[in-house]
Amino acid sequence: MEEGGVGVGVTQELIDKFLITTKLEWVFNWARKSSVWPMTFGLACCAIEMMATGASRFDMDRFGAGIFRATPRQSDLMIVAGTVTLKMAPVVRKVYDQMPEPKWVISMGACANSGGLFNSYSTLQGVDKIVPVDVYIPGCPPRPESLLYGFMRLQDKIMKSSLREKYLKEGINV
Amino acid sequence: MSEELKNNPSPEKDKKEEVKAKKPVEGEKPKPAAKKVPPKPQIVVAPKEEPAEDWQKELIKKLGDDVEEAYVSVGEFNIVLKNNENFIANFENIKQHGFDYLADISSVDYLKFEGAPKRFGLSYHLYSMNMNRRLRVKVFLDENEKVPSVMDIWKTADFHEREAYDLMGIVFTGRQGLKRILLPDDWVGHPLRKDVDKVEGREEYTAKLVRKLREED
Repeated sequence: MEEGGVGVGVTQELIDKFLITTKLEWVFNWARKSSVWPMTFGLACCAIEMMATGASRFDMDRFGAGIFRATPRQSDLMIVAGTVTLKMAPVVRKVYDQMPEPKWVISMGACANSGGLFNSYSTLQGVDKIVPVDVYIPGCPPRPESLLYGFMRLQDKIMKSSLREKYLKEGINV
Repeated sequence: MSEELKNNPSPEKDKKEEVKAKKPVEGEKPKPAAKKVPPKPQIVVAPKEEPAEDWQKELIKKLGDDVEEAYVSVGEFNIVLKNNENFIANFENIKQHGFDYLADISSVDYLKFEGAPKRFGLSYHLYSMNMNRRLRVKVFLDENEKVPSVMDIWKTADFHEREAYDLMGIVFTGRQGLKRILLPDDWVGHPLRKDVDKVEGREEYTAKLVRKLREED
């Protein structure tokens, strides 16, 4: 054991140059925002734009979100891309319930936000009636840039999230 | 031709009326004209022609008294059938005549149209693969009037009839499994009927759905 008392081979110089100290919460949030796994959930034409966002030209993989999973059990993010009909609404909710925590929802396009132009007998007027939405992206359909921008705003939101607030919301005093 | 002449005033009269109508518009503001109530929709029928081809005449002769009307309109042959006890036998005759493919069954609600014979209309769009011919068979129905199913003749009628039942509420007799096809099973009413408020039904169903999801939480 040397004088520093840290360990064999670790000097004070090494600590100054290569180690950083931070909050555990920040590390967790940074890890979560850097590898969000979205779910393949296209309901209408917005799904085409979502596919383009995932493909090479716009490349959502730059943000660590390129792996579109085919099952909700492996994903953290549901991008509701398209018109939600009343018959599909219970399915959307079931898929959301099957996702593990922590989970986020992006409402993509006018139809998912508010029903859009489908003011008809069979369309749900906004997906926020059945699932909590984090980011709304306007457009009909939104361009891939819009989806990327919305995703970056979601990353900001993830970075601001704190465990303390979550526990307080659930009534647990930390 | 004589009827048309009676209905349409001569072209000279038309011109005079146009001149009369234009004068006040030039002097005054054009606003009062916009307040006019739009006229009720009327059934505009393309000119009907007598069926001329041999197969058309043969088919009409085969169906006999059950044909209410038969005409060619915009090059397409139409038959209006009576909804009576020979309904299924007539369709079997039509199939034997070569029309082996039922392309579509469409339903129409004539509630807000003036001059319609009955409340609902059904159109059977038929196609003959061998002869490359098309035929449209129409039936008119009162409210609550039922119509026999043609599912035994063309199996594809299953989905078309279920759709007509789902959205327009037309009941087909003599078949199994007449249930909704597009809308959820617990939907109330038939949304494409003209006396149904589409938004009201939607809001009702959404509220029911949200309540159900909250109970599950």
